[in-house]
Amino acid sequence: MKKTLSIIFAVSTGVIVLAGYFFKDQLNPILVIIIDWGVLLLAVLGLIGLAYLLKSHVLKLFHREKGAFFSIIVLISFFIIFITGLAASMQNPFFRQLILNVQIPVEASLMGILAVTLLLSSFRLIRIRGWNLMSIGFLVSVILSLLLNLDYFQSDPGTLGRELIAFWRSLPFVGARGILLGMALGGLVIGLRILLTLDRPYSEE
Amino acid sequence: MNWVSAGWIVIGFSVLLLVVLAIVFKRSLRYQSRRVREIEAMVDSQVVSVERGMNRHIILGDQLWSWLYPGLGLHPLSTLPNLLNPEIAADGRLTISTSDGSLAVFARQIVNRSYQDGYSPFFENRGVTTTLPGSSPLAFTAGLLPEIGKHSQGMLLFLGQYGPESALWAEALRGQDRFLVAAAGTLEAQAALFSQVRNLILGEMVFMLPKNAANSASLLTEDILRILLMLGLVLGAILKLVGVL
Repeated sequence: MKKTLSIIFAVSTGVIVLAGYFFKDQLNPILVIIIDWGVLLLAVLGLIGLAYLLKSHVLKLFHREKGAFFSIIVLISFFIIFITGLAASMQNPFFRQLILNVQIPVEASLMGILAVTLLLSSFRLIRIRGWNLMSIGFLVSVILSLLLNLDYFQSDPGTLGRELIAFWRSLPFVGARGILLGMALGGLVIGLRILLTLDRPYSEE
Repeated sequence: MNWVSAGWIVIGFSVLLLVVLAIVFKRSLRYQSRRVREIEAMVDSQVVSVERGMNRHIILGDQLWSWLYPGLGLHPLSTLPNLLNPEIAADGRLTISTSDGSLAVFARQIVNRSYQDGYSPFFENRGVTTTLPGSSPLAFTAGLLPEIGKHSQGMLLFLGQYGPESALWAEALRGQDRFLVAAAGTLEAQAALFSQVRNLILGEMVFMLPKNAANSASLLTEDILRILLMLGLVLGAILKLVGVL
């Protein structure tokens, strides 16, 4: 019974939301309610998910694991932000400054490490992938894109050189569109698989 | 014909194909147009890790849903049950991580359901750990790196929607005896991991996970849709060239 109910609920919700995109005028009132409920549920799930974060750090403290000191910092920061967030709104200048002045520098430093990591890993490309069409193509594309974006290569309007530069610059977008189209088709089929109950991650098989 | 009608035609055609092909593939037929070595390697590494008593780590990504990659964040949840048969999930050495609270909760529910199906509906699976090391992609990375470095691990699997920060996860494993498979759906992750991960599943190939009848049907459906789309684009370009459109 529980299994059937969850299937009926999931499929009917999915079909209404899907139909709502095509019959906006007729289904808009129901669609708004369903999407509001969905957003609310996701927000609650987000809060429950945060409990996993807190639990792992509290357990680290209790078990006196390596790095427990950092867990103290995480827990103190979390509660300061959480209580301030409850007391002040997201638009509050103090709250915004409190978050942005901590989060942005910390994340920027991680992005810096990431940039160095990517640079070093590009040197290892051939060792990891070997000499093949994909790795050579990747390497050539990276070098060409870097050179083109440095704006060292300039050409007069209407010349073949200008056309070639424009062609090379547009190539990454062509590739990206191709990949995004493939991903969109994959997303469509995944959604339909759940609507048709071929996949049922929400209930017993 | 307007775009709404075109949408209905594409969706209706996809539904029809999926239903017909799912019925056909249930009768032991399999669609084997492509053999993805990385997926086979992942299945093998999972078995070897269980046999050797090594830890395994699955990362479910950063987001359940996004406009740019709809379906990609949801995909790990439909793959997860296939990675959790009772023998694999019962040894207490599997960790599932994500930076999205909703993904963590859904994953926990799937883990419990898989365990209850295999054993008893009254038990809860405490052998599989679900963690949320951080609530943003980079906070997640900062929390994850010490965790994956703590124990010797047999398999690491990156699923779902994640970005270039995955390069740091992969870098943390470099030179160690671990088996890494990454299903990179986003453009950023593909570019970042291409030079680092040998077993990298690129683009729409991520939807080839898991291997079952429903997936074979959806793969063939995707391939047919892709060919039709390509033909449509070429036809549209030709019509535009000759001035009809």
